[in-house]
Amino acid sequence: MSTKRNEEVMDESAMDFTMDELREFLEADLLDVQADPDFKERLRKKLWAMLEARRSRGSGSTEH
Amino acid sequence: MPRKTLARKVRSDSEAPERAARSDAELLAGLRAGSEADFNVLYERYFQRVFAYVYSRLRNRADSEEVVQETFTAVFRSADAYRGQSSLLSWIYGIAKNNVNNHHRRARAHEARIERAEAELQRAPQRLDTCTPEEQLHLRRYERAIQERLSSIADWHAEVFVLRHMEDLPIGEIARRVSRSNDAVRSSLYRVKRLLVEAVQPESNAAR
Repeated sequence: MSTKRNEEVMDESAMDFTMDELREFLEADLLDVQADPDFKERLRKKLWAMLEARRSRGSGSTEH
Repeated sequence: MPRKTLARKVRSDSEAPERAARSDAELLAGLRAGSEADFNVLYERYFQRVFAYVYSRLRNRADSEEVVQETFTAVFRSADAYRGQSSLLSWIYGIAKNNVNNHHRRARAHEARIERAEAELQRAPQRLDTCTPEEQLHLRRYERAIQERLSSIADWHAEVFVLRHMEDLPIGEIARRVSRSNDAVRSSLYRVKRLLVEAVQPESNAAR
């Protein structure tokens, strides 16, 4: 796996968040802000196309 | 609607509440098996929370969309590697948090580059009233070179430059006015300043 992917994907064994970070996550849930529906749908299509392309390429496991 | 398509629609509509109630692990398994329906449920389940969190940190829509896209791309690209040692929500939040922090780092690096470009632009300032006629001639050429460069760049870049340096607006406000991301505004300022530095370099050397 490339270095870029390592940086992007959190190591699951290091899932410790500080209290401030937990507070940020929870407070964000109370935020009344909606994404642009067009952006949301475009992203959904893009992500699904990415997944389909990977499956059709028969990419192996991305385990690291 | 063709009968087969209708049958699929009726079946998927009746399945929808059951699918939405499935656990993250079940949905991930479905996703890995190629189920678009399971992918859609996972996406819907986490999209708003991730967007709200990223927006709460960045407070700019264009920047937030960029980071949300980076986050979900990383999540779904790496879904095969997720082993369930932490909750899926924690894992996704961790990726979002890293991407937000990376975004802030890029912004700081941008600002540093702009400051360096500004410092170059302001090297050897001169006042017109203390200049000799020859120096005044060079400064007028300097001014013409800048004006020519500004007129050759796209409208929104020139607008950003004016808002920043004539009206002294902060980056966030400029981004809002020109409907671009903060990063796009910083990039624009950096590029315009580089253009102006290149335009006046021969003039400033002659004026010294």
